[in-house]
Amino acid sequence: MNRFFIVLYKISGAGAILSILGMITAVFVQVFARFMLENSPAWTEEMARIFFIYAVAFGAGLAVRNNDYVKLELIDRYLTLNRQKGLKAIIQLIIALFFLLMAFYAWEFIIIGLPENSPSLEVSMGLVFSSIFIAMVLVFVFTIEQLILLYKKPQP
Amino acid sequence: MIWILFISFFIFLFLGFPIAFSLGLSAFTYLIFAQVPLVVIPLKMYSGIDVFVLLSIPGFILAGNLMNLCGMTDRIIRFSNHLLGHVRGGLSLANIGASMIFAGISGTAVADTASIGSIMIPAMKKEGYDGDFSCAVTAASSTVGPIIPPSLPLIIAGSLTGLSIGKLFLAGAIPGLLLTVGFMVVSYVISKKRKYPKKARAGIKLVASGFLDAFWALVMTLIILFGIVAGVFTPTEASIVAVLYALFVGIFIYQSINIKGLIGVLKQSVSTTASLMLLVGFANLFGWILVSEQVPQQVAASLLGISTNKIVLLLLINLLLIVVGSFMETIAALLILFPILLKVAVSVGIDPIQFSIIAVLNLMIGLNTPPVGVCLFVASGIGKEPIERITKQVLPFLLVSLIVLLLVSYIPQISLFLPGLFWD
Repeated sequence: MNRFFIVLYKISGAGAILSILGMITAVFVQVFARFMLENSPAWTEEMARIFFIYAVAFGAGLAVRNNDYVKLELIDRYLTLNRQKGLKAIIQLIIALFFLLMAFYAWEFIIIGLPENSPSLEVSMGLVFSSIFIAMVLVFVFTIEQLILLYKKPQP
Repeated sequence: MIWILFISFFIFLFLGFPIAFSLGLSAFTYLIFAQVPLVVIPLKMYSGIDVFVLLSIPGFILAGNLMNLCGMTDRIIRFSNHLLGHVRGGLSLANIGASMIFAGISGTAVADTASIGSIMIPAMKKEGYDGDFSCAVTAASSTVGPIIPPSLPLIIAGSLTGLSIGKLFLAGAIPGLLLTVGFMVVSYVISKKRKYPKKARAGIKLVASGFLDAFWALVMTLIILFGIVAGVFTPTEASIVAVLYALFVGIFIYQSINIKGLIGVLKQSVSTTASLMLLVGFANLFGWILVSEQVPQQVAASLLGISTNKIVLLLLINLLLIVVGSFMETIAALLILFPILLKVAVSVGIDPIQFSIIAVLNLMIGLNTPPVGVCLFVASGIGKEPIERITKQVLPFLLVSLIVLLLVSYIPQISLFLPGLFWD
């Protein structure tokens, strides 16, 4: 089980890095072409946006692990340690279930996109919309990992 | 019906769900009651994120993290320390000065609190400053960055409403400087009272070498600023140019970037970006529900129903935005509220550029407003200081912010003077 999370984390990391590098390259080509070739190709903006949304998709899972989603821990300090842990567990369970459910609707969203193509690169919109599905699945999986860790790790 | 949305949002938020997921879960709850097909959730998330100007967010975050990695941030802090270290409370002044130079390159105030705070708070504590005060200075000063150009919130505000981003940048300069000076005065007075340390005056040689060190960082700000103001780059392009510039400086001039560090920074930047973008996606969904329930029109009507007097109306909007800004991330708050409030403001004759500065200023003040200000929480996490004590220390800074807010609200020239010089 542990190995599964580690491998998935590595894959997400690699996906995130490749996507962001792709985005940077696309925007750079746009700037370069405008100054050097005096007109920039139409596809750079679309390509940059697709890479961007894929970076978001892969990063969404990383952010769960890195604890990057900003939250206000308002009531935590009024609770005993045990209750804090219980509350955290309930919160993570609800988040996990929500994203699992959203993954199903994101799948439906992919089906809607399949027959359409993007305007300038002409890739299937289903492929573009898959990014949202990936984001939902990764947030689900890594939230489950947090939930497991909560009960595995001895409390500090 | 719409109350389900708000009530469930606050319940999720106060239980300790992340802000992004609180927006998503409350929208989900509403949609179930309203029997709207749930496929609208991925759809609205996608359309909220698939916006070209938002690509500047990972750009600026990455540029900021690269600045940290290659030691540019350290050099900025050292330079402001050379300049201000000999004054009593010099390190706290340097903290504020560094935030100003950093000027929101890293993106959001929350990110600024984290990146400058993780260097400055331990350093200040080590020199004998109280921990709670160190956290408060950091939280307060990080709200200066997004007012002083280049500013991510102003880019978002401009692209939402079609206002000129160049004009917005210039309009933010004087209010940002007023804030900086105000914060420095407060820090100085407090430091003097509590006898915080000062260092020997750095010689002219040290200041000069510090300037040379920080020079490359200053150039970066100038490239972004003039690139956007002069219309050479779009904000997204400017952010990517900043990334490439930081890479260039890090690899060839400071020679301090290695592959391992670079990979770590890329991963961390994408992670931070994703956490913001899920927030943007859910905020777009949330905002869409508000629009379809005609909430913006009702808010506008009830605001104008209370008064059509410019002064009263501005006061009301200021209050509303500070409260919202205290629990909502800046970008999400702008997406949901800014367009409609701008309409209200313009209808009573307030200049749209001036109003944008007022709005962003409000949201920044919200970040430091107890009991929930997000920056206070972030600073508390980094400095390991209880939030109640930081809250107490941040009050004088908050007072300065509020005075600047009133000045900007009621004296249009403060924001409109600079753009007026270049346009019109």
